[in-house]
Amino acid sequence: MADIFNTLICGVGGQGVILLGDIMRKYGMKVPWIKNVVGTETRGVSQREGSVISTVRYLIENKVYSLDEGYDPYDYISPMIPINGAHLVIGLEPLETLRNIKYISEKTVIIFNTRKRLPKNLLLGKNNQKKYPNIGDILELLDQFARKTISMDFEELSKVKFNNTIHSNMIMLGVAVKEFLEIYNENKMKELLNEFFGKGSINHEAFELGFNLIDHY
Amino acid sequence: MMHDKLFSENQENKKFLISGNEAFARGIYEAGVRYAANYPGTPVSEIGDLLNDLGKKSNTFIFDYSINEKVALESCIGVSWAGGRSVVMFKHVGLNIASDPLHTFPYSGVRGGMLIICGGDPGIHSSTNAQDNRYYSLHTKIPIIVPSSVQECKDYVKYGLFISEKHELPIYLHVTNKLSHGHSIVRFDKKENSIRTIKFEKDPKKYINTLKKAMNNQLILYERLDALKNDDEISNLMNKEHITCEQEDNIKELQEKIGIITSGICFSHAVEACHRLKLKIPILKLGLIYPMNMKLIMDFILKNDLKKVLIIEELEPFIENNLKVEVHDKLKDFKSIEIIGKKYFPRVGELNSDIVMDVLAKILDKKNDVNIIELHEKRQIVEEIVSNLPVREPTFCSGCPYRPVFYALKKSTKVLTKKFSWEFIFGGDISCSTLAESYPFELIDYVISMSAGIGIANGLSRILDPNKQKMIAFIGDSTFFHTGLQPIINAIKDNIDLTIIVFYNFWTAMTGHQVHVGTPVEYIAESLGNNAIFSNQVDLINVINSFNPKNLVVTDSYNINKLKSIFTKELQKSGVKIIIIKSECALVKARRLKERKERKGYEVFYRILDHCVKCNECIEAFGCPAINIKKESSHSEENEDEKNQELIYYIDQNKCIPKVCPGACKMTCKNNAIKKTIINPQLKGKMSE
Repeated sequence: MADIFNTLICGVGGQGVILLGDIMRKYGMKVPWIKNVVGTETRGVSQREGSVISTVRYLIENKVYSLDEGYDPYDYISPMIPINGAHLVIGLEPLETLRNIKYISEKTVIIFNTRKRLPKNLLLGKNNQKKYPNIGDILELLDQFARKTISMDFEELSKVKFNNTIHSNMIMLGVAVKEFLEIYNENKMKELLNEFFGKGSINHEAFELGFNLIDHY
Repeated sequence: MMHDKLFSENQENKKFLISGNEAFARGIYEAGVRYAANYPGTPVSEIGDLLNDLGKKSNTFIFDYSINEKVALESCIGVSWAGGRSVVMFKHVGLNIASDPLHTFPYSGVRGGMLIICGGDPGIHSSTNAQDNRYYSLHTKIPIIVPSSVQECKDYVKYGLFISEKHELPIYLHVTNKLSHGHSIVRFDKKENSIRTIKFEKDPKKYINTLKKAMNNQLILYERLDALKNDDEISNLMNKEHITCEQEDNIKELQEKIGIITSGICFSHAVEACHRLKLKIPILKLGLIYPMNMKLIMDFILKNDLKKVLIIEELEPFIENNLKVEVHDKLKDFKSIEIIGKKYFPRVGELNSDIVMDVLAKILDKKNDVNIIELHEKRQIVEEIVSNLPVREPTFCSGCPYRPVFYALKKSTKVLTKKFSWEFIFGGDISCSTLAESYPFELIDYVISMSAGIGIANGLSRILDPNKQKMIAFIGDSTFFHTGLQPIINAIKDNIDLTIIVFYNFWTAMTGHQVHVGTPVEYIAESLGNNAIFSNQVDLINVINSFNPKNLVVTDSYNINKLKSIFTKELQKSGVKIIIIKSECALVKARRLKERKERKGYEVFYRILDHCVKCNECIEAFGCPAINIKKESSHSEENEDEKNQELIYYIDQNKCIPKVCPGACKMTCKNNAIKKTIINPQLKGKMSE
């Protein structure tokens, strides 16, 4: 296992990027094998319909950097993920996932939502020299770099199951937890979701759905 | 994080996952600060929002949402002189507004500790420039401390106040957005209680800065600064030396005698870069970067027998240049030392561990390291892919009251341009209205600083040919009270030919919906509770009325036809025309109405009917995010055959807020294809209006 486990969440303002980052960072407080959590997120004018990213970095091992005696080495981890450094990418929107290809490498698992959100200026083909890439082309590119890509129209799934596209982020979290069971304890994550949403929230069902979506052998 | 834990006494040694801004708020609480003031601005707005809550419930702490940064700073000076600890916070450009007292009050010094927390934005994510505020210290003589982690964001508040009281100097805490918006685990400490008695003790020599008294105080300021510079206790507290990768087995001693001096977030980038390249390099992390303790730096260089010192810092070569000057003075000892920094690092943009790693590889000739080869390969590929991707421009929220205004303004000015061959020039402000610069409006011609839309128009309007070019300038309500009064009065006093559009949306919307002095009492009571109301709210319209403007129109924003006729009429007049758009920020209003527990009434929603002729007006010209297009019959993205697909225009009910926006889009549709629909829950049937 890597000494730092890096997660990147990307999407469009309003999709739940910030909330998902918040949940995944808080998870770092739940289990003893994560020594520190750092992360950061884009803020400011990009919130409405703009590109949003959130980073989560778990410090796993004891001795990563050696620093002076009496100094807590866990304090000083850069909140930014290095190039090729993501272990997990949760791409809530295809174009935004491709925009962050810098972080994707042979160690990356991508959970990829195929539902496009066209930027306003592209709705009518304005700004024609830069077109929204074909989903097939995006997937092909991602496959070239990533270890594994789990792609699906999670918004459609959320709509069919829960009559609202908004729960796609929790479904994707469920898939991610199943992918990295050495990092994520399912029950601890459920405990955390309880703290966030209370009991009886649809978010639990959405997480459960994601967790059981793909069988692992 | 829950406020009850953030501001609670019994959390000693407990660990919490919090943001940099929360850490500052906790630090202010732990340090027993008596007074804090703020004008909101990214990246430090959240500190003020948190402290506002603390101020409401605490008997010993006062928080002020100040009218602007200058007043915020000055009020903190007052509290400090009375013996109380005070902290002021704002964004980097806010310090420009406060810079007048900033240059003089250090002459008098402080009594209670005083800290200025200032948030920089080197990547220009939410600002108009990337100015490196560390340079302020060179002419104000205010010492700078820079935290490197979220833990230090909390601790440095206390250290800063300690230094401030020990040396009677105000302290400037420099932070950048990656840290104030960063999250990490922080150990809490116990709350200190202030023991000073609060009293202003008259001392004309100290507090009056005129002529000889000022010059005398200037001398005292230099003495204080020298004392701090040579204070080893402070130096040991604020600066730390590290050796990277000491425990790794496969590291050989380096040939080059190189060391790193850095501060702030760059320290974590440096540590990570050294780790990735498996370099054993001594790093000196400066927490106090001005004044620099030269004994410490000489020790660092001599002890490690360094030949090269690499300075890692964002933006300007502040540490590098200061160090070069200091070392030059001690040339005898330092003849063979090379100090490098901006020779390798960019002066534009944020740094990260990739950039630092690349520079280290260049200097140490490690170009064949596998990390470096990968880095360069990937950069090239990424450049090719990302440069071809369409950009997502931010836009007004759905239901935003600004959108109909810019829509109507664009129509009206087009008509007038055709009729009179006038070209309209649009002066932008720092406000949500800045978003009109992008598609589909493109109605902003310049953006410089708070209220500069009108300030610059004061010059343009006087010199432009009024038969050819006409000025329109925008301003938001929070900016109006911040620095907007002066340019408006200046325009009125000479009745220059200028149209001023004031957006009165009741909140400081762009930075997170903070309350301001113009927010109506009833709205604050509903959103934030009675405690948040100032003793006196000031009505913006009454203020403008008191200027006796010849042409003043007040209107709400959603009736596009009415707006068009107002603009067409007003823009043909000469002299100053003021148009006030009075409509509440849609986001706050929606939240407010949601919290108001009303009995279930009529449900209203808007939809696009089948006789829509797809003229694109509502999308291309109006551009509300709630109005969308979908392609019918395309389930498989792979077989995109655009010719065979039918475009369907629809209103996304998840985004539309019909309780706030009374269907402004309806007026953009020439075919009446956008319909308001009302559902009466009692009748369980639909009625169309």
